[in-house]
Amino acid sequence: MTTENVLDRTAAVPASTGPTTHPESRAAGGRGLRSDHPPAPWEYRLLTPLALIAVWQVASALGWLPAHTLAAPSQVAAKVGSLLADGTLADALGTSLRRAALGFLLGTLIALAAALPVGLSRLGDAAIDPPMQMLRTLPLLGLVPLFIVWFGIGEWPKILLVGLGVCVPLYLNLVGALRSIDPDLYELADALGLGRWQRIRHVIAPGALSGALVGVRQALAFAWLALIVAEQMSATSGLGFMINNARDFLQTDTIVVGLLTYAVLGLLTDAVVRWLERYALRWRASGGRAA
Amino acid sequence: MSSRMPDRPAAVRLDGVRRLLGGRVVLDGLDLLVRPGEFVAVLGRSGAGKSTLLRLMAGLDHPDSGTLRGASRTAVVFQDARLLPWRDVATNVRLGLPAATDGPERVDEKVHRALTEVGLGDRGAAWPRALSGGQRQRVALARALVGAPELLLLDEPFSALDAFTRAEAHELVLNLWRDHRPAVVLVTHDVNEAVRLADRIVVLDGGRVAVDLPVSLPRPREADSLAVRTVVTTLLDTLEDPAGRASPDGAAGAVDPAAGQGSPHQQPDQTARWTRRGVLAGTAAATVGLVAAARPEDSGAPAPATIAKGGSARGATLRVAVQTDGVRSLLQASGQLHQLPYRISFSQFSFGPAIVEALGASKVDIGGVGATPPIFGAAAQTNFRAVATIALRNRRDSAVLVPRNSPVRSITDLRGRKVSVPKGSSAHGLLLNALHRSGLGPNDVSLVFLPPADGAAAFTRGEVAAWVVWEPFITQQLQAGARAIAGGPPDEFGLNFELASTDALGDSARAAAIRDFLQRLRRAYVWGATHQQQYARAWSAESRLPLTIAQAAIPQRSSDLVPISANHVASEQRLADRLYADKVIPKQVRFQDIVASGLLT
Repeated sequence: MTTENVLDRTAAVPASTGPTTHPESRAAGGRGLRSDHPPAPWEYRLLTPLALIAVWQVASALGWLPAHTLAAPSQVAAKVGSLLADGTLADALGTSLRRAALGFLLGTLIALAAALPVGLSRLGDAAIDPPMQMLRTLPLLGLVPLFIVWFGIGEWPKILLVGLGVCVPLYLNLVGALRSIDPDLYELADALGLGRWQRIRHVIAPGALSGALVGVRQALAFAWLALIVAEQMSATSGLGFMINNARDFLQTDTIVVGLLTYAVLGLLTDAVVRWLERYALRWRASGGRAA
Repeated sequence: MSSRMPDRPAAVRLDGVRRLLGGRVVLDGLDLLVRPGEFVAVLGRSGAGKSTLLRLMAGLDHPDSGTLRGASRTAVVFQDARLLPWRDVATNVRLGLPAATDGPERVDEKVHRALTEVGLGDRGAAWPRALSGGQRQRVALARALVGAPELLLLDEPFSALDAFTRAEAHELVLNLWRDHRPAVVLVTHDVNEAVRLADRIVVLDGGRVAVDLPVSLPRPREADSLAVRTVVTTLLDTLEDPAGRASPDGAAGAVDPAAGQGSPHQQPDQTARWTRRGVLAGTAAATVGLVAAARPEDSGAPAPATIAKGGSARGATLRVAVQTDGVRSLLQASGQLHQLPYRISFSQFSFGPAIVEALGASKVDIGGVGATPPIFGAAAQTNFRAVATIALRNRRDSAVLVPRNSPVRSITDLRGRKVSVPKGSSAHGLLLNALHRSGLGPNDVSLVFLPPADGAAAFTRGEVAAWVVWEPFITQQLQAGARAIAGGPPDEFGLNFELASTDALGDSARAAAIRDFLQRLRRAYVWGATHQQQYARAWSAESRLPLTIAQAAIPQRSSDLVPISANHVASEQRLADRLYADKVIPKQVRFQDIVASGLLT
């Protein structure tokens, strides 16, 4: 949770002490090795990925990278074209998105149902936290054969597997967030005589939101990971199936296309949550005014 | 005690209040009466019980004994402003109003008036973090006053402010007090502040009121005026030795009582702890007992499956398991899926053992697998039956492949080398028979069990000396230069089996559907043997297998669906005995027991 926050420049601004000077303004004049440099222009960040692709293409063209090891970028691009043209990619994407969305919804509901009693009551903590801690250590892959026996081979086991992958990080972050709410604020709520609903609305929900959103970001990453595993279960559609099917016959171009699609989806969903974070946690930016 | 304090109107009244925190007496029979509109400052050294007293008056804590009668409307301002950082200033102030007594417009008006009174009328939309410390404390004051309290409790509210801001805050509090006239109890450690603001100063010591001093100086009181300085000096002397009762063990009083207040969970007493341990031990014993009692039952020989007769397949759904072997394309391309009187839903599996697993769990109804999976399945569970044989015309299902430049020429050369095979597959059976024929046992080679996809990767990377697998992988690797060193008779006879779940066989509609499906499958195989080009194109389209490989593999896959013959059973029994002898399966399997005949005639 904290590591996530450190990675996030906006969230890493200390909550209690608003900095009087921006690191940029001081860094500008400073010399010597330091780690608080301002970010480089975004175009610079494209240089390395582009160079890597160029090296990859050259290596393929010279025959250092045979196609059955890794297809060339040009071959991958052509494959994207053909998979788009015949509708395969759109179909797979649609199916996978649906599974990810339903699984995410399910996992969120489970995480909420478990985390709220654990965070808000001693008895709930004692009763629900131990099995959840056990659940977090289960390897998803090991559950696949059991899931087939329990839930069959339709959509359910796939959605459930994604849900499970989602609910664990979300649960852990939610409980952490609930536990880290400043006890002084509960005292304030007592002093103000706030009712149960007002406490949830003004203290508990907004207090846990920041941690919950970190959980959402981790959970989204997990959702895509779990989906690859889930779609190994006798799937006949979806991105994971596309990759697995290509794997059976060593079609590395299709595999790379599938993996790239996952990566793009991961980045997009992460960007959505970051945007959500900036909006929901806008009170953190000092000097701002409410909308 | 009440005799000392006659019944007069009171904003708050404490009689003989006693409070223990962490075993220490913090308040010890304290009496105090605050009249309506009175401004009382409470002084005392750290640990004297000031904060505890304030928390009791605020209703945040309760006395262990004695009585406390408080005002119905109380408000608190804490040392830190304690605003909700995620709510704008106006919402923070609004929370000081009792729930839902006014309409929204009236509420907004009250909030705005309160903010204007503290000089922040234009900052209602700001986030608390955007305000200075002094401004935040003024918002806290507005929040306290907006509900028109009868008793305003101030817990060292100015101690975190700089001197200049503090002086401003003092003025503000006095003005607000004059305008609204609540009773005020100000807890502070600043004697100057107490003298400048209060009508009456109460000094706590040893959990009681040590000094109760009225301050009748006219306001405004300048900090450096002689009168104020005199009172301050008097009080400081008293604090040094309050009422001549300064205890020599005053150090004990330096413990901050707040330290014991944080945790609402008290130490459990001994009895409760033992009760809990008893419950825990009982639960554990019961659980162990239950687990021990629920031993798995050994079913022995499978009961003969009942096959439902005479039903109609109309409206049924037949769940068909397929592999990447192209059976689905074969059914479609041959036109055998037209005009079905029932529905078929296909699910694809990467190899046979997974199909047997799904059949046993009744998640699919029927599916075709190689020679070995039914035997593995029968060794684990018996919820399926073999209903027909798929006999390959070339009598060769799997092959032992070695890479192009491999020194391995025969099975014997595999001794001591790594061989990859999908566990429990027909290829696994072939390998064991081939090893046995060459005088080797399963322990003479190093078996690497990998699913087909991972096996392909291991083989092409040269991590294994041989790969035992089936079509289309054989053709794919042969075209890439690999060689086959074994396959077909006498190690195997190209027998695959159509398996159905006992659940489906016992259901008249699905049993009828299976009978019909087997007929269609038989016709599809016959069509496939004569229409290899069409079959190859359909398979390639379904599986994304390159067309050239599909075209090369199809002739190897020409099959016939036939009833299970005595020869087939005998061949399978030999394989089952080999698997048992090689300790691959844990118990003997009688193949005849898992055959259900009569579905295909």
